[in-house]
Amino acid sequence: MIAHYKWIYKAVAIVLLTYALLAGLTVKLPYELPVIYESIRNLFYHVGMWFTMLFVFLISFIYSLRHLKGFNPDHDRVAAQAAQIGLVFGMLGIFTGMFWANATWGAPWVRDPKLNGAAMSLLVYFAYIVLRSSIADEEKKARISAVYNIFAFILAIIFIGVLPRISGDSLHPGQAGSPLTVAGLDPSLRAIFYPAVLGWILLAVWILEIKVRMSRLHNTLTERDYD
Amino acid sequence: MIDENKMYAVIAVLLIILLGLFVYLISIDLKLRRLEKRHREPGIDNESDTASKIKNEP
Repeated sequence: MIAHYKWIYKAVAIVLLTYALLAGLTVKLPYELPVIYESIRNLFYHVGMWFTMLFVFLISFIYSLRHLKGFNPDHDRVAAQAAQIGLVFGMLGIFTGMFWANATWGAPWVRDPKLNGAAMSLLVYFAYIVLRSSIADEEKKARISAVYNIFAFILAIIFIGVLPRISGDSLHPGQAGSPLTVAGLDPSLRAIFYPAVLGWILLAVWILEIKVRMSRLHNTLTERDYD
Repeated sequence: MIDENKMYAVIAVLLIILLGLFVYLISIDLKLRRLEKRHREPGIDNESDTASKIKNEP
């Protein structure tokens, strides 16, 4: 019996992302932004990658905490898969950001605390993947990587959310030194931005659900605990 | 802007790609569901998703 309610959020993801694409590309810009011009539309797509990455990293963080409280191997499974998906969205954020930076700031990588912070966060999570693959004992792997993952998430928040704001010279909106903020965004753009972000997040949760189910099935078939 | 310079063609192409990927994702989901049914393990609630929970701990 298919649980229909589980398709609801997937349908919402499809509707929101379709809307984000159509509205995001066709909306008449309420103002002419110097330097940025039409590329402000990247807000709906590029920024969505980062919000989504942090959201799945948060899921990973929560499941690592849950794993340490009870040592359920399935919690570790969710944490590991979520971290992987976060890395995918983070890489997409980096690459899309390089295109946008090239068009507006004149170079794909500029000296900006937000960029370096994002790169550091990805490295921290790549280390999580490496750490997992380097421990053969399944129980040990789960526990050690859960502890590491908690530090990883806190570091990511500091690198992406805190340091760029106190450094005072980030080119990104919402930081000291930049006048643009999401809260100060025109309502016509915000009406696309928030649905877009939610759509990307739901898409990531959908992929996460599939990967976790695949991993469980694999576990059932091979009688091993993890892959 | 939309009518003037054939921007609509780009939007249509992107829309087809996006919807095509959604259809693909749905087909993966359905295929996985069939496999889960075939290999259902006693004691595990296969209908549970990542948000709600599991009880396969000894």
